[in-house]
Amino acid sequence: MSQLHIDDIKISYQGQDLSQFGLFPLIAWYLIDVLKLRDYFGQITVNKTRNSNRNRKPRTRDFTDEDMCIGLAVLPILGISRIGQMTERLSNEKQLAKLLGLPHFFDQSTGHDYLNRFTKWHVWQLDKVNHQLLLRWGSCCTQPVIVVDVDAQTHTLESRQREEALVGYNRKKRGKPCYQWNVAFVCRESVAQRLRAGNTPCRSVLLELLDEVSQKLNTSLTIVRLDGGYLSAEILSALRKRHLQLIIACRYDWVLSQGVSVDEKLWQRSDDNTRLYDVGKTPIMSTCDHQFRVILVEKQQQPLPGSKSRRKLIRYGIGENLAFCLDAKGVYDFYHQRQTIEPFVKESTGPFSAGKMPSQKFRANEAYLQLVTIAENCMLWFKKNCCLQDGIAT
Amino acid sequence: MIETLRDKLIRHGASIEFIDQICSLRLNVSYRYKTEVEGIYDNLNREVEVVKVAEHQALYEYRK
Repeated sequence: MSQLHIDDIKISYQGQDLSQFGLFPLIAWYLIDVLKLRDYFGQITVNKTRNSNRNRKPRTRDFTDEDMCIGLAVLPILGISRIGQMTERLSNEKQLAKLLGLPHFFDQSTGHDYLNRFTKWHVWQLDKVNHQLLLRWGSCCTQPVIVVDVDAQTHTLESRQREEALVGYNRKKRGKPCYQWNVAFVCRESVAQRLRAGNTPCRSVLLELLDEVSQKLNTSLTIVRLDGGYLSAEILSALRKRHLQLIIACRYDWVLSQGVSVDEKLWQRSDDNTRLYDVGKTPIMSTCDHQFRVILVEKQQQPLPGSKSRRKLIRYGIGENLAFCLDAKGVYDFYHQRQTIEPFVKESTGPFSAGKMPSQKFRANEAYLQLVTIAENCMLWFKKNCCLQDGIAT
Repeated sequence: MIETLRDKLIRHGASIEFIDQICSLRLNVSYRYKTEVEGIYDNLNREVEVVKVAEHQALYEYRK
């Protein structure tokens, strides 16, 4: 009979200093002592019910608004995808709670209950917090030329019982109820956002968002960079009326249908997989008379390693009316700087877990997305200000 | 796949001791990202000092 490798295991339970979130205190230090996030969250008044019709003594709560907002904002940073997992993952984390200024982490029912009490006014207060943080810590306010990137994201919901969850444009899960989340970025920082019902087209909130960004940064916008989802005659006309410079992706076939002839010899190779063609000034759609300079792009998309899909040819156009002159490669590169906002979208659905809406109430979900946005902006500043500048940190 | 900053910092167990506003973290000797963490710690230390000096600037007036 072979001898055992382990003879016996003794288990003891002592101390309160172990954490599964190793170096999170560094981030907590930044949030609490550098950004002073608790001071900002002090403006939230969800727990302070004024002008209530019922004349009764207000209920005393164990957690203040600051505690609740800090607790909920660090969830996406800790990688906890649902508030429902809070009790399981954080009930043991006494020291982490202490670092954030909480007596202990609240349980999931308290978190859900708190979010469900948010009204439009409270969501606006969170937006105000984000604005104040941007003014103090962001680099978007100090830019000489304001370039606004706007992106839309569809949040699919599991149930139609949720407020405003309607069937609308949903590329990945067609026919499922969803929300449309539009976010405006300057310098990769999220400045303004709108959550709307699933059947709201992203074009309908664009001008609202641009006005809000301009108002928040207290300056006039210069350049708007949009993807093809925002292409419409009304948007193009409205942006031209506001004297905004625009760079937008457009349909390849729509440009060709304007009577553009393409000479095969004039294509310029940008890299091994990309060819560019400078069309010059032309309308980009039949319903809009304005002329834009158009660059046609033809790109061979390589399949990911191990994928069974074949190489795909992607064709699109880039229309622009920029005040400065760029060559075809310059326009292509400038448009693709838009991709710097993609990590926000990717992170918000992936590690920041904003893809899973926590509540049936629309305002609660809106508030949760505001908290996720604040967390993402804070992490962006943490990376910018505290990480080594060698490009290792991602 | 690139390991993100949050992976490097958060997905490692540690012991956290918090006495008199001094927080000590204890990790295994084999922890791989010591240089990065030390860099972040130095930068943070500097930031906290700056904030303490210019604390009155911590909150801006909300203009809207």
